[in-house]
Amino acid sequence: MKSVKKIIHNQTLTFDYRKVVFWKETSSLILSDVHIGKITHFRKNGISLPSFPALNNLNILKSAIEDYHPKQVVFLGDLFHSDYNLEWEEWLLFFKSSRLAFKLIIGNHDSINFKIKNLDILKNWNKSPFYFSHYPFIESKIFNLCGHVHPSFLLKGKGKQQIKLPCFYITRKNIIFPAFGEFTGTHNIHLENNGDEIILISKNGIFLLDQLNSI
Amino acid sequence: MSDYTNFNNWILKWMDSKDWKPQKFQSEAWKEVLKGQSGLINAPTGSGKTLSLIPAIVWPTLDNSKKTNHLICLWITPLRSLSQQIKISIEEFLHENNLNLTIGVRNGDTSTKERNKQRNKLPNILVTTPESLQLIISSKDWKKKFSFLKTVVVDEWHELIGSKRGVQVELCLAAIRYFNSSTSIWGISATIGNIEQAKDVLLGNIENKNNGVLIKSNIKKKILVKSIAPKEIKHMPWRGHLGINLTPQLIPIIKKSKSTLIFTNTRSQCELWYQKLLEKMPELAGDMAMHHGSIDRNIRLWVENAVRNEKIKVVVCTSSLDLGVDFHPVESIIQIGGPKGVARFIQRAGRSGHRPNEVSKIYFLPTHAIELIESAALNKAVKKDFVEQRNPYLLSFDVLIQFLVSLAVSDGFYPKQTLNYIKKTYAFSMINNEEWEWVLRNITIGSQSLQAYDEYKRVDILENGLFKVTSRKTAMRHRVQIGTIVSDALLQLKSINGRRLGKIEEWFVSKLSKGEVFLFGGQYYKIFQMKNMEVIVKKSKAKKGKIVSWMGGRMSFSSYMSELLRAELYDLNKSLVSDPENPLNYLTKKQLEFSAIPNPDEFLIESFKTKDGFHTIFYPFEGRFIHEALSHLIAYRVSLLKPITFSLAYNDYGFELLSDEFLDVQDIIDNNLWDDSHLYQDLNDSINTSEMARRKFRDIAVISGLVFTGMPNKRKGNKDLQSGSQLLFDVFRDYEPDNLLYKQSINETFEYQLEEGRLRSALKRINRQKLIWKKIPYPSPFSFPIITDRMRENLSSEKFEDRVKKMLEEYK
Repeated sequence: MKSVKKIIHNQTLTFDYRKVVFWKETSSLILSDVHIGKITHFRKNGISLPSFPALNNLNILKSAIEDYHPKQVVFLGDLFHSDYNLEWEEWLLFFKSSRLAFKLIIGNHDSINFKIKNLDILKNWNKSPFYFSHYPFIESKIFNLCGHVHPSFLLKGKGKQQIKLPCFYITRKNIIFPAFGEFTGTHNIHLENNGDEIILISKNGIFLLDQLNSI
Repeated sequence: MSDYTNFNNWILKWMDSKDWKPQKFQSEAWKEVLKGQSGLINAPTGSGKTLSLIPAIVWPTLDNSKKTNHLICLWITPLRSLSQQIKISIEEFLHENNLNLTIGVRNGDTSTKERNKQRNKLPNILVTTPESLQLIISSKDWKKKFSFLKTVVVDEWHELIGSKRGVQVELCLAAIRYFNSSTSIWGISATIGNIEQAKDVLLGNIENKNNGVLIKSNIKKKILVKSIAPKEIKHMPWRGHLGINLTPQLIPIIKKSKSTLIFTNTRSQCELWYQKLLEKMPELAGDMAMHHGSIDRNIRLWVENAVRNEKIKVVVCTSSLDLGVDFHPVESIIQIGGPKGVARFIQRAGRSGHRPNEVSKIYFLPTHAIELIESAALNKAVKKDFVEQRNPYLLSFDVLIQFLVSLAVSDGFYPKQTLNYIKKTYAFSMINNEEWEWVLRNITIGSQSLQAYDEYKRVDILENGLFKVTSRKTAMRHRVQIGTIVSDALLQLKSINGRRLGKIEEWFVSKLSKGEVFLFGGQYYKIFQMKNMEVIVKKSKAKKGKIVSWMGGRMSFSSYMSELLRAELYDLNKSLVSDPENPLNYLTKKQLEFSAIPNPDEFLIESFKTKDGFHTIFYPFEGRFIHEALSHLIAYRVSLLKPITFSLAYNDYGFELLSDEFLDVQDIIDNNLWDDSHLYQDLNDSINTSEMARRKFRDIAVISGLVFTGMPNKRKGNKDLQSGSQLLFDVFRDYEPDNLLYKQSINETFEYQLEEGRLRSALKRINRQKLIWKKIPYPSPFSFPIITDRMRENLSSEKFEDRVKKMLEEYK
């Protein structure tokens, strides 16, 4: 399975294995925590990571855009890892030359001190029935879409087996997005309430983990 | 040789005044030192090894015309706690002989004030650690500071040679000698299996000096091992490593001894034992202390002095007190749990009866039933007087990178000249041009760079060809990271009134929440606040709480220890008849109830089912490291036969393959499971993704500067540069598999952990043995410690998607 459609608050959301969500009613593609420039930031500081993975993120996003034809793309924060470096350039070019609209809910890593063409930077975004933020905002009465956590889930099986996979974490109050960027790390989450849902993501597809009453 | 005669008159006069006589090895050493020779002295702790060098080293300064303001002797010790003691004993000698030489200590515990003083002017004799030595080399004008250096002494070389700190020392020595060829090098080492090689590694390739001399003392220590086991082995647990229930057995020993050192294998065990002893013997309060590497240095120093001055009776400690701290008064030594190696055990025993010809006595307290077998094995080992080898590291590119950047931070370096002396070290004598070029590329352009927009910055190449770090930030970051001992991220533990208590690992703290109680340094504390890199705590009156634990590497049986253990084990069957009084008989009977005890020509495999799944246990008795590799190898080979997933666990006795389906051992054994051909390829395929290689890589990543562990007290600001080594490992595996540092992690797994040769001979042995497969209804005594181990790894040949689906079923 490559994607799954869910109706949440009467809206149609498609969860895709590329760690993006397509919101049909507003034709928006939503993703979080790309951390552009992380590898170059490390290299700039004398840490010799291979420089190839930096190229991959944009290609994956482009392929998702091709499949869903959104009108706009919304980033839920931490689009950039640190201050400007040359790795940003191909993204800036991509924003500039694209006919789509791009929105960034600013995250704790984003330190942007110049205007980026065709990238609308917001603190939060209220688009009924959803409230978009970088940090989880559970006090809100409005259903919250957020990032920041880099959620993953540790599956446990017979014979003491374990597998860790990044995931979307869906509760009654919010959806926490997985980190889109490669080389960003994950944080294991635990199921907190009955009825919470988890969509696990592997390299080639997704797996649903619902009806979690037994855990 | 009139100079030697003069020297002899001088030193003998002093010794006479103390009613001492020089030992043969001391006289030999003096002669060689005066000649300007280099070499290695093989002598046990407490035999007067400091005195075998120092008089001859300072002798030339007695001549007034050669009075000096410069550093003449560097004394390198592996442990900070040793420095103080070495300094005191040298000072005593200088004082009694009215020598006007200055002596100082420089290590991680040295105050900033003292360090600043040393920056301007070094003392005549400097006692330091390998890390601090490299730090001096990474400061400006280091060559000038060493230009009058006559002698470098590397103390306790046996502790350094089998680690990357040894490589660090080799590199520093090569640099020092290159710029000051009149410096001679002396090592002091306890007995190890490869003492000749130890000398060659230390001295490297010294021209025109016929490779130095090896001077052996003929002092032999007599060691008596007493095992403290309960009268009835029935009362011993089958597993666990704490042994707390045996506390009562220690009380009489502690009571009758003036002083006691209790060695534990881990820091948590140390904490726990301290606590339990205090509960059982409240009268010890004030007379007992704890010593382990995470306790704050001031407290540690206080403990060391208190033992020396006989102010305390009992110290519960870890290997932090392993080395030659010269505690004359220690009467009893107690080892809790298997020491894993004979050399370590003998060294610990040597802490008592610290004078030549005195008998050293050590009590061994097994923590679970099977360790009783170890106790018998140790007893034999000590009698046979044989110790393990410590193999030197070769081609450690991580250490080389750290060293080169250190040079680049100080005065800069020229590659051609530098390669010249690096090739003279034992570790890098085999480095080829490609590897050298790769290392240079790594520090200048970041190994490979295909992108036009790359901004890699670490070492710059200046116009005159000098490799130099020009960025102050890079230089600062490098200096705080120097060293090859890698630990988890450490947090400072402070009491609410600001007193520093020690250091605690981040992962442990992350399991605690505010208000929770834990045991540290023998005291219960409540978490009050965590901020930045500090954990603020309050004393708590609670009687229970979590025990602080540290990840610190688990040790493995040496091959010699394994051999002894197997011999002991094969005897169990016999002793049932021949020695009805043997306490081990109870264990033997229990094991024989459903399973078997193998004879020398037999190999035991057990299968049974529990709620966790189907367990298959193999018993090669080859030590933990070999079992880790064997478990991967066998699991991998089985997984080629059919899609299956295993969870692996191992200890010093055997290993377990746990699966969700029954494993027909007969079936798989027929497929040449123990074949030693294709060994390299099969291992490569199975350990590529394993924890073993990842663990090695973790150290490599930190040492080479790939992982930045942060500035002290300022870490918050560097969060954007921190990443897990796990993540890095994956990135290299997927994007740059020919990276030398990544490859090094695989190589190290083969050479140092698996000791490929040892693995091969284990396979050959198993191949010759007759297989005994026991299907049993319950876990056997042998299997208990293995199946309850929570450190596990997976190996699978099932399709990933299928595995996930199967696991998801469990949640339905």
